[in-house]
Amino acid sequence: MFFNSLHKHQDADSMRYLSVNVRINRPQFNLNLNTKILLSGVTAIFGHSGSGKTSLLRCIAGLEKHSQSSIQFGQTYWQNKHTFLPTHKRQIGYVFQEPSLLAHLTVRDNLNYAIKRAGKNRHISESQVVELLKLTPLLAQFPATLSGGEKQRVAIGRALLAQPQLLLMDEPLASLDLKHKYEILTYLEQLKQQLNIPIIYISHSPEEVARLADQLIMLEKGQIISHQSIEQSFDLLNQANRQLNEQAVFLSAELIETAQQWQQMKVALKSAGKKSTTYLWLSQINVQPEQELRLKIMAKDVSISLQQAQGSSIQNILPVVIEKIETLDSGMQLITLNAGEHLLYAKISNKAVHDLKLYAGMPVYAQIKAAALI
Amino acid sequence: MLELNQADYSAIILTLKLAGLVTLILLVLGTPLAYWLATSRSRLTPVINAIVALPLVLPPTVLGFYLLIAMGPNGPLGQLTQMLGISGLAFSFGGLVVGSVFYSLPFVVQPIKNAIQAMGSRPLEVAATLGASPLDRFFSVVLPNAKPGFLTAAVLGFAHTVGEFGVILMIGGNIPGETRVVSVQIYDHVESLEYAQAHQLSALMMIFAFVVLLLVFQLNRKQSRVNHVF
Repeated sequence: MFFNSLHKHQDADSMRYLSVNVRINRPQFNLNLNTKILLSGVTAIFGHSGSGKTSLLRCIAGLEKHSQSSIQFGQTYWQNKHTFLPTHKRQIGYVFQEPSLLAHLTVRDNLNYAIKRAGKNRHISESQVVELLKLTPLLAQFPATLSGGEKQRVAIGRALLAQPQLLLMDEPLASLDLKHKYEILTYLEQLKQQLNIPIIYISHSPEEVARLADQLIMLEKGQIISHQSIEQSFDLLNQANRQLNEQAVFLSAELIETAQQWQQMKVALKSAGKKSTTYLWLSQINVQPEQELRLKIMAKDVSISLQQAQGSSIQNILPVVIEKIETLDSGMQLITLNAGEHLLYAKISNKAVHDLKLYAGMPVYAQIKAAALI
Repeated sequence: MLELNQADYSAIILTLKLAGLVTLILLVLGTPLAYWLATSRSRLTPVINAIVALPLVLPPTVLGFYLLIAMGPNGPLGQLTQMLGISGLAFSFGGLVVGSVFYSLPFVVQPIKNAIQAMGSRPLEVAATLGASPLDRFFSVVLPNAKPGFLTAAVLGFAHTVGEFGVILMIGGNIPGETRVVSVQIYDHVESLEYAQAHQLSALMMIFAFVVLLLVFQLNRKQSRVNHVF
């Protein structure tokens, strides 16, 4: 709401790309990729530690220089065979993994450090940043007296005040505890909605990525294994989540109607950017009609029945087909269910699978006990 | 109770002048050198590090001897001064300054280098991403963060120059008002069996050295306390 004037430029910006061609070959470490990152919305770079995420971001920022690499921002070469634009001349903001405030300066002077050196084309004001990130009570303090979450908020604000044309964030939540993580995630969401700055966001948390990103680049051992829209990447994130021993699916959805008297809302699941005819009822929250919602449905919250249950307290029952049955360690089975254009997981005991005589290809009903908005 | 004669005072003033000038020159020359040594990944850094540290291990006579040769009419420094049309450096105050700069270099470079290394590269990277040029980064990040290192460097550089003897005797000789510093004056007193005079100056030097070292350790203590807070 503060930054409405920015949206005029959105169309022009969306035509622009960051072309990245990075080659690093060292005995223990390789990074070889060549891709075009859309300079709009949030592009998440997802991968395990050691996959080369941070090196990639540092190359984009000019903090690392590797010959044979080239970086092109829109029409401008930041690096190629002949040129190397030093970091301080690239119009970027960078948020490091651990909060990196200048320890000898107060919070206000940390912000001023960026303001003094920002280019002439200023579109973000100090008061906007201070309000968005609730920095007022911190301004007079020195970094040493702040909590990790507060420091990271200041670091994000400072990066914004550098008036970046591209914001680079290297796992800004990784060093924070859960409480501060959610607090900052909320700020990041507002930042995404209110400012029109393309963000490249590194993370190894599937949920963070599913919540924030519009595009996803998945890195493995220094190579891109997927670069698609976030919706098309949900399956990969579900797989990544399973490696973390969490069985859940991510879905995107859009508001259809609200039922004020029940404090419930009806949403349609989305597929390839379009609303499908698969609907779910969720607890009502304050959302805009066109706003994209991201959901997470845990496998333990999905059960299976052979007939469409009558007189059940469960509101969300979808006709599905069993796609796959896998055995988990714990005497449980993970059933992959196909609900048209969407997948669901159900976690069911061995005995239940046996008693219901479930098999791949069997049509059943999925009863969804809970779906969380993320 | 102090009964210093004219020659003693003149030696003290000369010593302070020399140490002050040398400290100033060393801070100006030593800072970029220390910055480079702390941040460069060049293969040359160990070589330069070793050269800077040489005066720590060499007998001052060796350093003085080579400096004397270099300042002689056929040495590179001597040639340079001849070309510039100034009188030779050997046995002059100017020569003492040059010799002392070499001799006290490690005492100034090491503390600054250590302070910059302790700061790490992250604050510099942060400043770069916020649009600060290398020179800007030096003044806005390195200087304020390495301030205790600079203080230690200045105090040690000054004190070490005051305490110099061997190099001075080799390249400066013993000319009153020109090269006769306190340490040489004490030597003179002892040679002439003026023990009382030698005592007074020696005691002064002792107190000065103690106060200086106290200052350095206080400074370091404060600094390490700060480090704990961060």
